[in-house]
Amino acid sequence: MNRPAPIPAFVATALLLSLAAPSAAAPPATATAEDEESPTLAAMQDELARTVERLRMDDVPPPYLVTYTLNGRESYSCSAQLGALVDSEGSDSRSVTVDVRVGSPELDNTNFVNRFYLTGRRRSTTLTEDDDYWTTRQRLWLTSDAQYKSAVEDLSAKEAWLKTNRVPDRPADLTPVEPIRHREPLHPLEVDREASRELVRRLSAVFRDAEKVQGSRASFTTGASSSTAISSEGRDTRTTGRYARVTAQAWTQAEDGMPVGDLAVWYARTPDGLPSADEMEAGVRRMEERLSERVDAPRAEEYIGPVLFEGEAACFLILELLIDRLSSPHEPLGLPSAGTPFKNRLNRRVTPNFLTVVDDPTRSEFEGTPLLGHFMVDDDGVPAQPLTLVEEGRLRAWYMSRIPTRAIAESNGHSVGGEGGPGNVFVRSSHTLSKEALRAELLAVAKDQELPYGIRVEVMARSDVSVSGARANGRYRNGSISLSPPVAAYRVYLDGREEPIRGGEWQGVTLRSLRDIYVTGDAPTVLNAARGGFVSVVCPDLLVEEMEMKKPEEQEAKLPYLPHPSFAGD
Amino acid sequence: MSSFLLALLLLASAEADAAAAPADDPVLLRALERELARSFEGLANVESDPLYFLAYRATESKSLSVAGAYGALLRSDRSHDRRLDVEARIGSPELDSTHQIRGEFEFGPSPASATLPLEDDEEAIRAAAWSATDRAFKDSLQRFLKVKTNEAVKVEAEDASPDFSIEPPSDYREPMVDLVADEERWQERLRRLSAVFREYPFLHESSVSLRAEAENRVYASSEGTRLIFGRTHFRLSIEASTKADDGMDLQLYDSFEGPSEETMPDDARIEAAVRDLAERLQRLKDAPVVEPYAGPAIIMNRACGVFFHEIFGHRIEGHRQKNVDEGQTFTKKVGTEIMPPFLSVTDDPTRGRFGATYLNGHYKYDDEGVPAQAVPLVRDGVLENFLMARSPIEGFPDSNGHGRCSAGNAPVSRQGNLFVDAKDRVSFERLREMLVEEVRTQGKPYGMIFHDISGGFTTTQRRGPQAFKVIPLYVVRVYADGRDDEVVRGVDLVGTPLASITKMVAAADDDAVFNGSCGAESGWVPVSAVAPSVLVKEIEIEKKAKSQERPPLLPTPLHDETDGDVPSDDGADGQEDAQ
Repeated sequence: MNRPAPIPAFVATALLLSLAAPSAAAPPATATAEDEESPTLAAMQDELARTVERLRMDDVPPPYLVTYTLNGRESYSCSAQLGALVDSEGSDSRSVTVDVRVGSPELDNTNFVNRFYLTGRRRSTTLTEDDDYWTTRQRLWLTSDAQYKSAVEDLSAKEAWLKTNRVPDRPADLTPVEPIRHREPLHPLEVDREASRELVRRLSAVFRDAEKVQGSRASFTTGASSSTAISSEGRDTRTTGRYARVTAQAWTQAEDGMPVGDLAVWYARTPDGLPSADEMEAGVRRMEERLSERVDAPRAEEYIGPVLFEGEAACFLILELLIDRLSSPHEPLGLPSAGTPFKNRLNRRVTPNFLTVVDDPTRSEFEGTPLLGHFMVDDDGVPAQPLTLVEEGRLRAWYMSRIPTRAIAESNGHSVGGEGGPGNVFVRSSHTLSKEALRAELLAVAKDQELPYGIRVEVMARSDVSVSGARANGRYRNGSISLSPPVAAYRVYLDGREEPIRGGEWQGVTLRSLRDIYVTGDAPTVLNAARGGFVSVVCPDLLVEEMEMKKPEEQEAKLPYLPHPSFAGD
Repeated sequence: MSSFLLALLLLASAEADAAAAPADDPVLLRALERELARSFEGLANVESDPLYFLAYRATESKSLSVAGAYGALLRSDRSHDRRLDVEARIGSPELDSTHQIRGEFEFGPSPASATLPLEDDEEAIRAAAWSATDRAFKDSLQRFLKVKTNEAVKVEAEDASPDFSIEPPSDYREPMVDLVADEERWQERLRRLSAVFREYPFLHESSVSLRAEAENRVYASSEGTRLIFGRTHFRLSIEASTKADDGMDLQLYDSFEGPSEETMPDDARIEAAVRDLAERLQRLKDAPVVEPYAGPAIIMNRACGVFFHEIFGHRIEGHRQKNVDEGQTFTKKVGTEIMPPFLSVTDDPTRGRFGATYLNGHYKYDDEGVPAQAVPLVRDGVLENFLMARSPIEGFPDSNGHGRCSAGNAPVSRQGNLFVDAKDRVSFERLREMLVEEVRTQGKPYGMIFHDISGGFTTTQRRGPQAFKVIPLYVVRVYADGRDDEVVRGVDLVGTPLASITKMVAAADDDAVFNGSCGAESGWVPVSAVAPSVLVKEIEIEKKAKSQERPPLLPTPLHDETDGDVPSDDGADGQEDAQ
């Protein structure tokens, strides 16, 4: 709908007076209250039937597949600074996503870059907070209509493009699947809001005594979501998910002005599953000490040599080097550079042969730790299955949704929002050392390369929790990967003495770096992270034979003019 | 450097104030006062360019937003936040860090902002203020260097006025306001009232919504100003949209405004407004598309208020008179006739009501701590004054209490309650007869009446055309031969400001209030415009840009006769009761 008064972007000072429609800021809804008798679901079924039977125009094909997906999300979050609450907000929203396809699975309106946009994007519309029949039908009616019209136009643009462009081995547009019925029970959001607020007050109050820290924050968030889909090809699925997360972040500047920050993160499936408040407070204190220690550390210097990735840092390394590269293998027409960078390496060696990497979304925990990447049916309505990505060093598969690629046509039940993506990643190694032996090996390799020290990394920057001075990256371009920088890393001297590293970024990282993994630890760490969807990685420590670190830039921001008011003594 | 001495003197008084502050002042003010005093003392002369002015503007807002659509609750959300904006001026009032850097585009000045704790914890509030102050100070230092370089390399400015006016400090403290609204009752009412739209099958989207806000501002400056004041505001909005058969998107809005829950209309009045809106939209959907036209027209009172706000009000905002990128339509016109002598215009934010009607643009102090003032802008057609914030212009060295902004922005001069007054008024019936006479005189087939204008936009900058566009929602053609009036659609009102006003010839005695929000470089601020219906000798309209999408292929599921279970009106009521 055209609302009045959109400010044209080119108008320098656009002044407008309007009826100030209340900012459509906040989304609505009761995420998870519907059951089998839900009016919303009944409306979806009735409007689906009407759309399939009657939505058509003269002289153009009718829809061949219509899918409606109801997404419910409920969440609560709060955060505090220095013991005082900064925000506390619940949110509740329901929306429905409409996918209307025209043509046939062999050739339809999707998977084509039509001048500036990728065709086949599903359209979402917000639903009422009430579980209501008629408003749902009203929204589905208008959205299906708009989707159908653009699908018809996209298909004809794609057919025209194919008449003038030769495309060898064009993959089909959609993999056929069996009808499926799978309904998971709904979980309403359960949270003790006052207890959560008390928790973040307590965790953030740790920094009241931290003289070297300029700013800090502790946050809690918990959410429950559900996704209910029906389609004209007999799909009837409902998947659900829950999570709870506590984070603490702190930031400051070193004497030379360099920004430094640190973080602590805990994930669980529900607030009850989080560690105790005492345990988290102790964790926040350790993080504050680690940060305060690093503030006074020397700046990073040029380094080429062995690097030991421990714990969650090893999991992030595998995520950014391998897992991200095997995700979204989509190869739409008109975008020759698209697809996984491994698209020509199937069955070839990509890691040392002592590594095997499997993704198994069907597992919900690992040795008592929840795996948030768990799902039983993927976002395309395909049953989840264990998937061997790398077998003894050889690439066996990448993440597949129902969008075929040239080398792999079938779905392997790994659709995350319609594109291939990870669930629970397990890295297994047949060449392991104990923690002590692995640290000794780091020094042995460093000594061998005639270096004064090796580098040990404990924490890497991550995209789901930001930290000052180390911005998460992980982007891939032209064969090289901008690996996220370390947050907490140490120089380990040959005599075993350790010294924190301040600043420092990786460089020269490529897909080939995977083959420089030299030996691994014998005890895996479990990482849960939110990156679009949730992903879990179970991975042992990794010793990489050669990595390159560069010096941080010389130019830094000035320090604050005045001391922190809590330590100014007035 | 005399002004610098003055600033120092004012600092001394500020410190005295802080010491004498009564113990029961809110923690928020106390925390800000202490950090302000420490910062100003510590930063004033720490660099060679002095910090001569420092102000904290804290905004605490609570809001409730409830909306219903077709009988169901669309949303019901509350929010609560506290923000701090810091203004740090470096240099001297004659030339400071806010001075325009010529040749460089900036949308507007932006202060350093911080999120403040919601809880009254002095230590946590001061820590947030400290870090925002440090950022504001560094930004201003850097900007002042650029200003000095820019002044050295550019030609002498046409308007050599100082950057900041000296104003006496104010001290005004009201009890903080809170948001009082019965959320559950509104949910129930808006479900019920939005269900009325179900009876109109041609509609695509519709809603009835409420937005209630309570905002407290706490202001403290190094000059000694201390302010605490609040504002509560309720707006009930009705909106509906559809598509004409030729693809044109159509929408209508209506709203009610007031300072409290009690001032909102009752169910019967809202229902009548919902039905009226739906019926007008139906007529609009069936109406013929307008042809480009230039000829006589009446701009109805509320629409006329919007018209003056856009084409006149924005051009007499003081800071636009010295910004060299601005069109400066009226800059050199003080003392000359800029509109027909029967018209006068005043902006008066001190008025809270017009008759019984609430005025949205009312305030006691502006966002620079200056008391609001009534400002006669045009008297008998002659331009007398501008809307002034603390940025002086040639001939207007002082603020007249019009420096306004929303949280997160720095204040500039803005409108409050704009009043358009006219002499020799006639009844609306007579004005309509005059329109028909004018149509005949000009030999046109018809004239126009603009009933409602949703808003619009105007460019005041030189790089854009000096033009405006307002979006009429409901326009009627009046024929000279006695045929019935006819609703038309697809109208855009265009023109250049000076030409449009000078062609006004008469006004009716039917003043009405338009309440709205105005967006510009200092954010969204509440405003009102009060005006009579006005006859214009010639106005220009053009065809609105139109969507090329066909209307939906299927009828609305609410009224699809071939679909199994269409709800009867009874059925619809039954379902609401079940909620």
